[in-house]
Amino acid sequence: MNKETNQLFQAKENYIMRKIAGKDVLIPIGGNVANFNGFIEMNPTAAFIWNILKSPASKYEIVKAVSEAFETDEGIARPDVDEFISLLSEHDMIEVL
Amino acid sequence: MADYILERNPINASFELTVRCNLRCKMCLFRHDEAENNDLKVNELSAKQWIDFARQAAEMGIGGILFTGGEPLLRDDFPEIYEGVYQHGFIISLYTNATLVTPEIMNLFRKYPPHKIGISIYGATPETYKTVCGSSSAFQKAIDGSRSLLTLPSVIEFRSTIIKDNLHESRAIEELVKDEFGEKYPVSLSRMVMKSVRGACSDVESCRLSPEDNVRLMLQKSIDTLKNKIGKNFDEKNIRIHYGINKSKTDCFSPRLKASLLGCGGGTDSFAVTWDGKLQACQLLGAFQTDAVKHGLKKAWEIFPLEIKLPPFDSKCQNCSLGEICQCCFASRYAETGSLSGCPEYACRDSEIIDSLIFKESKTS
Ligand code: SF4
Ligand code: SF4
Ligand code: SF4
Repeated sequence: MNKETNQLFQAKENYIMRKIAGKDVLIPIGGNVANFNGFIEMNPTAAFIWNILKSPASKYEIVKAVSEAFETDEGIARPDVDEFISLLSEHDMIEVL
Repeated sequence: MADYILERNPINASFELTVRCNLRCKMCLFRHDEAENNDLKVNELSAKQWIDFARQAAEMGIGGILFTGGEPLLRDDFPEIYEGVYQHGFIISLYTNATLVTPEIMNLFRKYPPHKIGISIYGATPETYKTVCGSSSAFQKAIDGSRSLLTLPSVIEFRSTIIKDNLHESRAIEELVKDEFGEKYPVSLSRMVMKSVRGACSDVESCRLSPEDNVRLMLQKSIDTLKNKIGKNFDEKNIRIHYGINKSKTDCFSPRLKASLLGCGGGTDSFAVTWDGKLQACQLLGAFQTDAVKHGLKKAWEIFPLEIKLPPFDSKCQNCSLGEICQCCFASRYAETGSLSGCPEYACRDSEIIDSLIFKESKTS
């Protein structure tokens, strides 16, 4: 088993996801309010991944879930998941367990 | 044909927690006389009701909630309301005079920082606070409170309203904010002081600037801003006056026609809930209300348009060519003249003065 499948990610608690004017958005709460000017709009894939990340999940699990839910190949889902996960870590929005 | 069909998705809501205040500003739009305080307190919505409105607001897809007043921090149960509303996940803004920032409030805000805080500063000295707000000690309290609030990660904006009593300190207020809190904090000024609304007690007419002085102040403020950016050697004669009418290239391609209820976002994409639970288009316009306690917030929002009945304008306004400059809206017409169709003399004079200052060339281009 490679390192990637071992590594677990989990969303930090300082965000609330809900719908604003019909769109999925993340609202920063707590000490990170200054990191974003307002709220963060999520596309359906991002919103789906964020929901998975409410409990610890590996990249492999996320890719699998995304490809099943959106009926795409894992090969197509993987770059999107990679990109979103690095974006989240860049902004300190997830924990690596 | 309108480019947009009226969608009516509420994006922002103001929660007017109280119309009581610990200060007594001469120009306050909302504060009621202290003699009414006991009655007001009894009829204010409870913490539980505000928190339930927040729950409904989240379900309605509302993104931002502004806590305002009066002075919201005056309520003993402010921490309970604030925390309960915050938990539902909003972009939270707070308007405050910063004189009631206790350690308890700071603990609350450190845990749940507002996203934006608008702090009102009404003078640069205790003496001016005494004349404008009825309390000289409020000056130091506002400075100390602001200093505490600035330690939060929130976006902070300083705001002021200039009347006859603090006109001599309009620049000093900006200097004070810069000296005390840093260069990056500009002070935004209320564009025009309107008469108070919904039974508020202030006598605005006796203290607001003449329309001439008000326009001069606004103009001076924007000239100062421009000069600050360019440098002291710049000759003011090279400044052109135009009036915020956006003539940028990109604007030429953006939609110009939009359908709304009142000619603004009020009641179309935002609303206010008053201290006693009435839903209005905005905090200022009390002519149309629905009962959010009786109907619930969602229903009160849905049936709100049925309350709106707009009369034709006063004939002077109907034939007026200053429409683009005129600052009037239904709220100001109603507050100033008691009628939704009225022509408010103060705002009308403001438009005439600005029209006389604008380069005709730029007006017709
Ligand atoms: S203007 Fe603000 S600080 Fe002054 S009395 Fe009104 S609510 Fe209070
Ligand atoms: S104050 Fe006037 S322009 Fe602003 S929301 Fe109210 S009615 Fe509309
Ligand atoms: S208030 Fe005065 S400037 Fe405004 S529309 Fe009426 S007549 Fe014109």
